[in-house]
Amino acid sequence: MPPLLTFILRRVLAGMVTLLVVTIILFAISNLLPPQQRALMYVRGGNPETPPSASDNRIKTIIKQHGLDAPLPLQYIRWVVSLLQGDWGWSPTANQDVFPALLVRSRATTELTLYSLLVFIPLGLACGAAAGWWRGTFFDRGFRLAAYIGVSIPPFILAVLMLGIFYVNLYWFLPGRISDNFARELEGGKFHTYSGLLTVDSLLNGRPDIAQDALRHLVLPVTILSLYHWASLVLITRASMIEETSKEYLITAAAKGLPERLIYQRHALRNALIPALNTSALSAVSIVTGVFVVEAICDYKGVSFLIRNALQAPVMDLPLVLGFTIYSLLMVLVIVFVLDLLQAVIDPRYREGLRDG
Amino acid sequence: MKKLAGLLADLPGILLVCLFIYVALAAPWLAPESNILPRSSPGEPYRSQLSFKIGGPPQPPDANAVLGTNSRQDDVYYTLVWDTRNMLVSSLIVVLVSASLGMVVGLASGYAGGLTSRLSMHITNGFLAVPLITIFVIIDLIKRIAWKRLVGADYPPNPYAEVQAGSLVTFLFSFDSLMVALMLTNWIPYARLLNALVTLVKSREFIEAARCIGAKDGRIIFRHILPNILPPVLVLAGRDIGTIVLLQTGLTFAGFGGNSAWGSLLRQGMSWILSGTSFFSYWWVWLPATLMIMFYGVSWNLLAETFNRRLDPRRYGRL
Repeated sequence: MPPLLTFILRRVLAGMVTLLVVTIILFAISNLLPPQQRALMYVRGGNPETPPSASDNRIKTIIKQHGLDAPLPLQYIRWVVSLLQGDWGWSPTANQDVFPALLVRSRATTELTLYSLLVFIPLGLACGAAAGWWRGTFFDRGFRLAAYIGVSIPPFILAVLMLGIFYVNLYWFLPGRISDNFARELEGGKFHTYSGLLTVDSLLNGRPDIAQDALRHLVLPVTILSLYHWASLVLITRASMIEETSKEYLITAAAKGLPERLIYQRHALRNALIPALNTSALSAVSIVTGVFVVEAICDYKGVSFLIRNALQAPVMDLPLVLGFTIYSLLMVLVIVFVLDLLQAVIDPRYREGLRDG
Repeated sequence: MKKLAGLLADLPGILLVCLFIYVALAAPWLAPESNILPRSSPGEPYRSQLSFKIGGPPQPPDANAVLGTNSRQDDVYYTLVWDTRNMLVSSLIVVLVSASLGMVVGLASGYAGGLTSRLSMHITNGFLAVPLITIFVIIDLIKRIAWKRLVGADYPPNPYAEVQAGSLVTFLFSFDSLMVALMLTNWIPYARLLNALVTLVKSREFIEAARCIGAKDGRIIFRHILPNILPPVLVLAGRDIGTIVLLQTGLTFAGFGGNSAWGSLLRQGMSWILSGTSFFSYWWVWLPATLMIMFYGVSWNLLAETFNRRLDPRRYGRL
C-alpha cells in the first residue's frame, strides 16, 4: 500500500477512536438525568417553558421507542445509531432539529475557518521563511516587529479596534455575513447552494456582486482570527529557518556550485517548514475556540450563534450541547488531519515513520 | 552599568504588576463600596449611585463619574477598579489549582518513568485535543444537570424564586463554569513541562548520590528535584495569570458567559460604538477598558520575562 494511503487510514482510525471515547463520556454525562428528562430531547416543537410531564403518553412512547430505560450498553449503541442516522434530537433554544441546524450554520463556520487557514498558513510560512533566510535585514526586522505585535494583541481587543476603524469610521468592511438586500435574495429560492460557501456559490450562480459582498464581510473576521496564528507561525518558521541555515549540508551544496535560489528552495525551505507545521497542528484547538469567539464578536452567524443562545437560555438544551461538542471535536480532528497531511507531503521521513509504526 | 540596564529592563513589568495589585487591594478606598448599586450576577459591570440615572446616552467623564458611563449607565471607573480585584483573584485561583494539578501529574509520571509516564502523557495529550470552549460548554451542561438533580429546578436559578440548596452545593456552584474550564485545560502545559524536566533531572549524578546515602523518594522529589525545576514553572505561571484573564475577558466579551465585568463592560461599549457615527465620539466607553485589559496582559508577560532572565543562572551568573 502506498505510504500516504496508510497514513490517511491510520489517521481516520485514530479519529474514530477519539470520537468513541468522546461519545462515551457524553453519554455518561447525559445519563445523569432520568429517562423522563432525557426523553425531552426527542419532543419536537412545543413550549420549552412548560415541558410535558413524566406521565405524558408522548414521553412514555419516546422512552420505549428510543430504548431510554434499556441496559446502558444497549442504550449507548442505540444513541450512536440515531446520531449516525442524523437524529440528533430537538433543540428548544434553536427551535429546530439539532442536526440540520448545525449543518446549515456550519457552512458559515467552515467558510470562515477555511479562509483563515488559507490566509495564515501560507503567509505565515512564507514570511517566516523569508525573514529567516534574509535575517538581520530591514525586511526581517519589519516582519519580526509585526509578528511581536500580532502575538501580543488579544484578538478581541483587535476586534474592537478593527471594527471601530474599518466599519464605523471608514465603512470599508462590515460585520455580519451578507448584506440585508442580498440575504433576502438568497432566501428567495432562485439561488442554488452547491458547496455552502457563499463566496464560491455566488460565483457558480453567476453573481459576482454577491461574492464581492460576502468577501467584504469576511475580511474582518478572517484578519482578526489569522493575525495571532500568522504571527506565531512567522516566529516559529523564522527560528527553524535560522537553525537550518547554519547546518553544514548547505555549505556543501553551495560548494558544489548550486545557485542560492535552489539551495533555498530545495534544501533549506523544505526542512525549515517541518517543525513549523508540527507546532501549528498543536494550535488546532485554539483555532477552533478562536473561530467561535471571532464569529460571535463579528456577528458572523455560524455555529457559535446556536451555542451562545443555548448558554444564555434559562432552559437546558441537552441535544444542542451534545451536538456542538461532537461538532467542535470533529473540527479539531479535521484541522489536525489537514495539517498532518501537509506535513506528510513535505516530509518523507514523517510518511515512512507512519508506515513503520 | 550592565547591571543597571538589566534593572531598568525589569522595572516596567514589576511596576505595572504592583500597580494592579495596589488597585485590587485599595479598591474600597479608590471607589467607595457604599456607592455601588446591587448587581444581579457576578459578571455584570458595576453601577455607582453617583452617576446612575435611568436611560439616556453614555455620560462623558465628569466629577461624578471619573471615566464616564456607558449606555446602561454602568460606571466605567468603578467597573475597572473593582473588577481588577475579581480578575486578579480568579486568575490566581485558576493558576494555583491548574499549576498544582499539572505539577502533581508531571512530577509523578516523570519520576515513575516508563509505562506510567507514557500512559499519563497519552492521556494528557488527549486532553490537548479538546478546545476550551467545548470544555466550557460541557461544564455548563454538567452544572445544569447537577442543579436539576440536586435542587430540582433550572440553572441558573431565577433571582426572584426561593431556592433551597445546601451550603456545600451553593459553594460548589459559586465557581464560574469558565473558571473551571480554564482549570481543566490549563494544567496540561505544566504536566508536559514537568514530565520532561523531571525525566531530565532524574538521571543526573546528584540524584544518584542522594539515593546512595539512602534518601527516600519524597525527599528526593521535594529537596532535590523540585528546586531545580521550579524556575521555568514560575515563568509559565506568571505568564498564565495574564493569559487567563485575557481568555476570560474575551469569552465574556463575545457573549458566551463567564464572570469578567471588564468583558461585559466592553461588550456594552461595543454595541454603542457600532451604532455610533465615529469610533472616537464615545471614546470613554471602550478606550479605558481596552487599555486596562491590554496592560494587565502585558504586565504579567513582562514580569514572567523578568523571572526568565533572573532565575536562569546560566544567563546571569549567580545572584
